[in-house]
Amino acid sequence: MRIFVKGQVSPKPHRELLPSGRLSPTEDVICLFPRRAALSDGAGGTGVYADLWAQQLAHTLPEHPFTDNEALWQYVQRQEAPFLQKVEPLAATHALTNYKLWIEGSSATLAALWWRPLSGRMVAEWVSYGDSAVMIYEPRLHRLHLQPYLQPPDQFLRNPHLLNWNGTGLPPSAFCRSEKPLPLDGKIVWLASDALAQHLYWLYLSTTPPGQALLSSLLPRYPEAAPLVAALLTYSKHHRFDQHLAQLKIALQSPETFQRFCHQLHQQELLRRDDYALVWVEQAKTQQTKKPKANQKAKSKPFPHAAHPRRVQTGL
Amino acid sequence: MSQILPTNPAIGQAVSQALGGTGLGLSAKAQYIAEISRMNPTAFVFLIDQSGSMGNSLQFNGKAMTRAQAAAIVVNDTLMNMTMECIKAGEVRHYFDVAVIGYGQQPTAGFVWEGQLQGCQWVSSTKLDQNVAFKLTKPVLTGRGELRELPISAWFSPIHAGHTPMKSALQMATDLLREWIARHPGAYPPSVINITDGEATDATHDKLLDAALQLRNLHTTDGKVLLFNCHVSGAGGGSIAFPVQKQQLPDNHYAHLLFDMSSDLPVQYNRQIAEWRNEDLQTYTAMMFNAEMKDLFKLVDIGTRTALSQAAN
Repeated sequence: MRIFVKGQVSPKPHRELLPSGRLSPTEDVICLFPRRAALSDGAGGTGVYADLWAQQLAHTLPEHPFTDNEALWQYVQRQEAPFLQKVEPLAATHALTNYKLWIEGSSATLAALWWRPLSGRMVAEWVSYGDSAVMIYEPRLHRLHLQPYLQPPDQFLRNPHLLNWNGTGLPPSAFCRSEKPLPLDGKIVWLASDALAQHLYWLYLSTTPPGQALLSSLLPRYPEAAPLVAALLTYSKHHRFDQHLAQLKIALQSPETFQRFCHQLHQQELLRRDDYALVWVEQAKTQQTKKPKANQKAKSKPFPHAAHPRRVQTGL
Repeated sequence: MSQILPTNPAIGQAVSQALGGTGLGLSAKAQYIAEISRMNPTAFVFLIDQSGSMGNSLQFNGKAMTRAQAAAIVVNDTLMNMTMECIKAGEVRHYFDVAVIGYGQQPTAGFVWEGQLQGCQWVSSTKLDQNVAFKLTKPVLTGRGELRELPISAWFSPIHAGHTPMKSALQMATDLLREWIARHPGAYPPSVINITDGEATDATHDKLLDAALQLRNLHTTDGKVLLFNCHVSGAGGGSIAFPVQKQQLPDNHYAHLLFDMSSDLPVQYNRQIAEWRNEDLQTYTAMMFNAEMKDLFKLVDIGTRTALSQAAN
C-alpha cells in the first residue's frame, strides 16, 4: 500500500509591498511528515505574527492525533514559550505591535491528518480547528464530506474560531476530529486552507440543484458573495467536478504550477483572494498486473466519473 | 460574467438580485465591497462636540469624568485600534486617512490634532503611528485576562467650551471629503462619526439636515459616505441604539432630526448589529440617542471595524 501525498502553498495574487519594500508574507503553512501532514492558516486579521504562529503549529505537529479539545489546547499552550522567544524581540521594536501582541496574541487555524496501516488497509485519522478544512471525497459516488464545523456554507463568510496562544482556552464547537480510523481506499483526503476549501465545497454544491439553492440562499445576507456564487454556477455548467480535480492534482506538481492554477481561478472570480494551501492524500493505485488484451486499449481513469450527482451530502 | 445559472430560475433570480441588488440595504449594485489597500485606502472623519455642556460629569469605566474626557478616550482608543488593524508583518500600512474635527471652542469647527500633527488635516494610518502626541503607560488586560503595563497612545486632549457649531463641522467634513473622494474615486466609502451631547447652535433643524444630506450624498463608485450620529448623555436609561424606524425613538424633535440625518446602514454593517443583538437582519439607522459611553464604543467599533475588515490581507 503506497500513499500519494502532495502539498503546495501559494501566496495570494497581487501581494502588497510593505512600507519596508518587502512583500507581505504568506500566512498559510503546510508540513509533510512521513506519516502525518499539517496545514495551518495564520489569521492576519487578528493579532500579529500570524505567519510565524502558523509555522510554529504546523512544524511541531505531534506524532499522534489530539484526543480532544483539551489535548489540543494543552498543545497550543506548550507552543507559547518557544513562539514568544522568537517574536518578543521583534515586537519590542514597535510599541503598537508590542501592544497588539499582548492584547490580541497570534492566531491560526489547523487541519491535520495521520495515516497508518491497519489490518491490511491504510487508515487515517484527522483533527481540525477553525476553518482550515479536512475534506474527504469519494470520486465513484461523487460524495464530498467535510468537518461538521464547515458544513453550513456560510461558515466560510464568518469569522472562524482560532487557535491563539494568548487566549483562555478553546471553544469546543470549532474542534472536530474523526470518530474512528477512516479506510483510505476509494477516497481522496484534502487538507485545505479556507479560500480553496470554500472553492471546492461551493463548486461541489453548485453541481446539484439542492446545492445551488443552498448557495443562493446565502446571498441576501452576504451579497458580497454573489460574484463568486455566480462564477461557480456558470463554471459548473460547463466543467465536470472530477475534471476540475484532475487539473488541481496536476497543478500540485510544483509551487509554480499550483500558484498559476490558483491565480487563474482567482482571475476567473472562482476563488477569492487569499493565500492558498492544499495537501492531497490518496491511496496510490496499485499497478495493474493483468496485461490488457492486444486489441483492447488500456483506459486511464484517474477520476472515475460518477453518475450525475443525486444530492448534496456533507455529513461525515 | 456570462450567462448565469442553469436549473432553477428562482436561483438565477436570487443571484442576479444579489449582483443587481435590492432590499436589506442593497442598492443598485453590490456596494461597500471595495478592497482597502495601500493603493486604495478609505477615510474616516470624527466630529467631536467640544461645547461647554461636554464638561458635565458622568461615570465611565467606574471613574467620574467629564463627557469631553470620555469622548476623547473613546476616540483616541479607537484611533489606536484602527491603527492596530493596519499592522501587517510588523509594519503599519496606509489603509486609511483620518481627520478629527472638534466643534465648540471656536465659533467654527477646527482640527484637534496636537503634537507633531498640529495643523494637519488628513493623517494617514502610517503617520498616526509615527506621530503620537501623548504616550502613557497603563495596566491593560491581555487576551488571557492578565494585567500588563503597556504603552497607550493619544493624539488630542479633551476640551469643553463655548457653543455647538455642528453645521460648521458637517460642512467642513463635506468639503474635506469632496476633495478626498476626487483623489480616491474607487475607494471604500468614507465614514463620518459625529459625537454630540446637544443641539446645534449654528443652524435651524432644516439647515442642519441639509448639511447632513449633502455630506451623505457624497459617494465613491463603491457607495455613499456613511454618517453615524451619536448623542451621548451618560445619564443612563432610555438609550436607543441603531433604530430601524423613527417610531422607536422618544417623542423628541432632536432625536427625530438625528434619525433623519443618519445613514441607512448597508448589509455588511447590519449583519454586525443583528449578531450583536441576536436578532434577524434588518436595515438599521446609523445613530444612537441618549447613549452611554459603552454604547458609543460599540457604535464607533462597528463604524470603523466593519470598514477596515475590507482591508487586504
